[in-house]
Amino acid sequence: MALKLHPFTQKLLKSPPEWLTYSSMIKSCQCRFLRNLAGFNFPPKQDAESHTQVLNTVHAAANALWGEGIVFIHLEELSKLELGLLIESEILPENAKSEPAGKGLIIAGDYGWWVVLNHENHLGISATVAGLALPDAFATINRIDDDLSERMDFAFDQRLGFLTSSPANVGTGFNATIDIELPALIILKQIHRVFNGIGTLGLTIVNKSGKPMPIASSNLKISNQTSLGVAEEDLLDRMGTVAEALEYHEGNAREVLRKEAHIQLVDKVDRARGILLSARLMGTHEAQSMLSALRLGVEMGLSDFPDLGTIQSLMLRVQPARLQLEYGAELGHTDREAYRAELVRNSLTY
Amino acid sequence: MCQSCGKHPAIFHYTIEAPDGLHEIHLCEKCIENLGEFENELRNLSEQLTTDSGALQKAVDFLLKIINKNQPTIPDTSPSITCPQCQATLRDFKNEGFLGCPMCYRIFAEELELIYPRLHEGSRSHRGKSPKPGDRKLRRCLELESALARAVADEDYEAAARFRDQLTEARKELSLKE
Repeated sequence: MALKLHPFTQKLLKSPPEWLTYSSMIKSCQCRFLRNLAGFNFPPKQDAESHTQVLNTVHAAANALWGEGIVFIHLEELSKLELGLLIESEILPENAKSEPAGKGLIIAGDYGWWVVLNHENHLGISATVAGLALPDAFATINRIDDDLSERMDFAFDQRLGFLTSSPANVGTGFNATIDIELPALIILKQIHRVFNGIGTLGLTIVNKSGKPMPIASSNLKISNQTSLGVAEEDLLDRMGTVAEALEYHEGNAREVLRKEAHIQLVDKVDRARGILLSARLMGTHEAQSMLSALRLGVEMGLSDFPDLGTIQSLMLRVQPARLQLEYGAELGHTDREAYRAELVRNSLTY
Repeated sequence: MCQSCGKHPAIFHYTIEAPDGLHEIHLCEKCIENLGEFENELRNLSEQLTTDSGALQKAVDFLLKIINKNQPTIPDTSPSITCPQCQATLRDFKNEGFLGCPMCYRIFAEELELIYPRLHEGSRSHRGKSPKPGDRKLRRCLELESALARAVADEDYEAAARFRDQLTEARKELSLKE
């Protein structure tokens, strides 16, 4: 039976945003402001009526401000797979799938920014951009935050700043994340040094979506832990510096690999290719790890097939929600693994 | 909230994909530090993960074992303070990791003051953006919240009831400003 999809999900499936298709050491940057409406309980303590009030208030303001340029979605209207696609696309947070009732999403038609409503905080104003461009993402959410704050009152305390449902986000309510690929530092087992260094700067490094463990994959996210006492611009500077330093260290690590471990590197890349071309069953994590190794080979000039665009596109398409939505039906575990392996084989065959 | 100690907000969030579904693990900074004695074992496991998907299950079992060993230690006696606005208690916060409403920040200020420096590099006060000035309704609401919190602290329930009514009115005003 064909799946009936929300128009926005159909669009997201057909034309993913640039930050998902961009292939680079620093893949994307995300900035987010957490805001709550004064005079309402925070979402975890809210009843259904005030959930609706918050949704209506923000929706009405967004309509007045941006009209046709936005899409408004009640999350409970989406299927589990559609919610999964929004999570895989890094629009919704990982844990948004469990209780969609009362939650909403307002998103610009060009994916330029969005606001997640009633998920832990009333508003999560986010923007993601491809590459290392934190200031651009920040400028966008800052503008949206200003526009909205003229039409509603955010919970704010003179000393503590913006009040959030968790005291871990109080202050600026600001969160910035850099999505970075560090395969050579992982292979050379230097990633733990990076991990320790970053911790001392009040930043934390986690695996994309935290799967399966923070330091097991070459795709990492660097994010701030601190929101109280550090102004937004200072945090942006700090993170920009860290990102540049990481690019430099990863570049060095790749040179070390090329000079001192060339045969091991070729072995890793070709093994990955062998698995991708031969496997009949494949899990998401395995597929992405192998694709990541293949990408390292292409980026380091060991191979010119496939092109980076194909690899990045597969990185997206092997994820479970997108995979099943593209297939057009829910698949059981084994069928899903078989279809994933087939998709990869077909895409990588000359 | 940290699944290991149940005391501090979790700052590390892992989702582990295992054959029986997704496992979410949330730990605070302190408990991550305390995992030090298992560090080598964890690192060995994490290195295996890129090549051996069977190790996933081992990692899950291993982490869950550590976490089960340190079940949350929430005090038996629930602190008696309840937020007059949202009825949240300190125990709710300890269990769930969320405060109930903006007023909780004042009601549980004493407890929270201990947490801020640990969460925020020693910092206790905001630097950065503020909402645009001139929010008369916002100020009115904040003043009434303060007055209500003070009245509750003073056990002046007559005044508290009055402030609560006024706050309800002020909150109605706080919806969309056209």
